[in-house]
Amino acid sequence: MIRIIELLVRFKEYVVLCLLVAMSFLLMTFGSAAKLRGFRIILISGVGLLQESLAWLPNPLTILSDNAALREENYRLSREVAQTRRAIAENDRFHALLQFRDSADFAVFPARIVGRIMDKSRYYLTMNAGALDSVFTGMPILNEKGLVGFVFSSARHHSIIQTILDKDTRIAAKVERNGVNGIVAWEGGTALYLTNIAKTEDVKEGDMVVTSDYSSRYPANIVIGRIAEKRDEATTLFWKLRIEPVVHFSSLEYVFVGLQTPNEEQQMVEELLEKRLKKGDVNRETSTRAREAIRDANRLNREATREAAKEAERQAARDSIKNARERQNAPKDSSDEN
Amino acid sequence: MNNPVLRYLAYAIAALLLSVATVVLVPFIAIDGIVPDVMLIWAIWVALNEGQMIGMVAGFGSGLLFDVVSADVIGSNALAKVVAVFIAGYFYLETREREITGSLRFPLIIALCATVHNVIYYFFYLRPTEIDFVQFFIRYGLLTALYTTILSLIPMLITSRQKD
Repeated sequence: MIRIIELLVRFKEYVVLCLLVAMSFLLMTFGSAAKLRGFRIILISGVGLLQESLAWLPNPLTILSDNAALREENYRLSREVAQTRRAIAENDRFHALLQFRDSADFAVFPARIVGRIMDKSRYYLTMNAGALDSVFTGMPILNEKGLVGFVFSSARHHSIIQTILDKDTRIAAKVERNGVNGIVAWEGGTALYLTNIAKTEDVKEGDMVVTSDYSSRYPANIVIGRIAEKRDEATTLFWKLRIEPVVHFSSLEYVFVGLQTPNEEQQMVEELLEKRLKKGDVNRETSTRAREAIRDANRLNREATREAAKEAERQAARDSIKNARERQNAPKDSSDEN
Repeated sequence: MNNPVLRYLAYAIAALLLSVATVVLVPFIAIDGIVPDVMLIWAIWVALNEGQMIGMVAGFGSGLLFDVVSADVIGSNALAKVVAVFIAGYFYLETREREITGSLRFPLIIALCATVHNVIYYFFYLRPTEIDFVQFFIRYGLLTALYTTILSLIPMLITSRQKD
C-alpha cells in the first residue's frame, strides 16, 4: 500500500493528468447539456449584457471589411438601378414602337440604327435591315414619332438612311390643322422650313406639319414637325416658317421601314417639271440659288435613272433565279408524271 | 507575491477577467473569424510559473468554463487544455520561471501547445460532422495557434521588461 502511495506521489502529475482526462471524457460521455441549461442561461445572459454594453466600441478590422462590402453592395445596387431605369425607358420605347406598328396604315419593317455618318450638310444613318429583308432604295423611314428620311442605298443586311436633315430634302407637306400645302426644306442645323406658304394663309406657331397626299416618296399624313417660328419677311410674299422636327435624330435607336417603293414615274415627271420651271425663271431669278436648284434637279434625274437601271438589273437577276429554279423543278415534275 | 494563497487568488481573478475579455473583447480583434485563445495563454503561463499540476488544474477549469459558455461538447475544451498545459509543464523550471516567460521560449511553447490543443479540440469538435478534419484544422487550427502565439508576445515583453 505504502509503495502504491509512494508511486502515486512520485508520478502525481501523470495521476492528475489521468484523472482530469478521465473527468473530461466522463463529462463528454455523460455530461448532459440539459442539466447545465439553467447555468448556461445565467452565463449567457451575463455575457450578453456585457457585450451589449460594449457594442458601441468600433472594431477597426470589421469596419474596414464592412466598408468594402458596403461599397461593393452600393456599386452593385447603383448598377441595378441604372439597368432598371434603362429597362423601363426601353420598355416604354418598345411599347410606343409596337403601338405605332399596329396602327400604321401600311406594312412596316422594324430596324435598329447601328451607325451614324455626319458631315457638314448631310446626316446619314445606318440600319440593320437590307435587301434580304425586302428593304430597297427609296423606301420611307419613320418611327413612332414621325418622319425620319428614306433609304438612300441598301446592301444585303444593312441600309443607309438619308434623313430629312439634308440639303436635298424637298418634301410635299401640309399644315395638319387646315391642309395648307407647302414644301419642307432644310437649311442647316436641326430645323426645317416650310416654304411656299403665302402670307394670306392661316398658319400659327404650334401647328403640326405632316406629309401631304402629293408626296411621291412618303406616305401621307406622317408627322414631320411642329411650326416653331413664324417670320414675316418684307422682301417676299411667303411666310418664313421654321419647323422643329418631332424626331430626335441624335438619340434615334429604332426605326420602321415603310415597305412601299416611291412612285418613280410621278417623281420623274415632277422633277422634270421643276427643272423646266426653273429654266423658264432664269431671266427673273438669275441668282446662284436657282442655278444650284437646277443642278440638283439634274442630279436627281441622273440618280433616278441610275436607280431605275439598278432596279432593272435586280429584276433581271430575280428573273434568272426564277428561271433556273423552274428548270431545276422541270425534270423532277416530268419524272413524277412518268 | 510570496503568499501562495494570494497568488492563487490573483490567478483566479485574472482568469475571471480574461474569460470576460475572451467573450466580450476578443471578437473585436478577430481577423476573418480567427480569434486568439487568451485562456490557453493564461493556463500555460500558470503552468510555467507554478508547475505542471497547478497548470493542469487551471487549464481544466478554464476549459470547462469555456465549454459551459459555448455550445460545445462539455469537456472537449477542458481535455484539450489539460493536455496542452501538461506538455507546457515540461518546460517549467523552478526558480527560473521568469527566464522562460520573459524570453522567446514562451511564444514557442505557446505555439507548440496551441497546435496540440487545437488538434484535440477540433477532433472532438468535428467528430459528429462530415467536415474534413485536415482542411478545417489547417484553415482554423493553425491560424488560431499562430494568432495565439503572436498575442503571447505581449506577456512575454511585459515579463521581459520586469525582469530587466
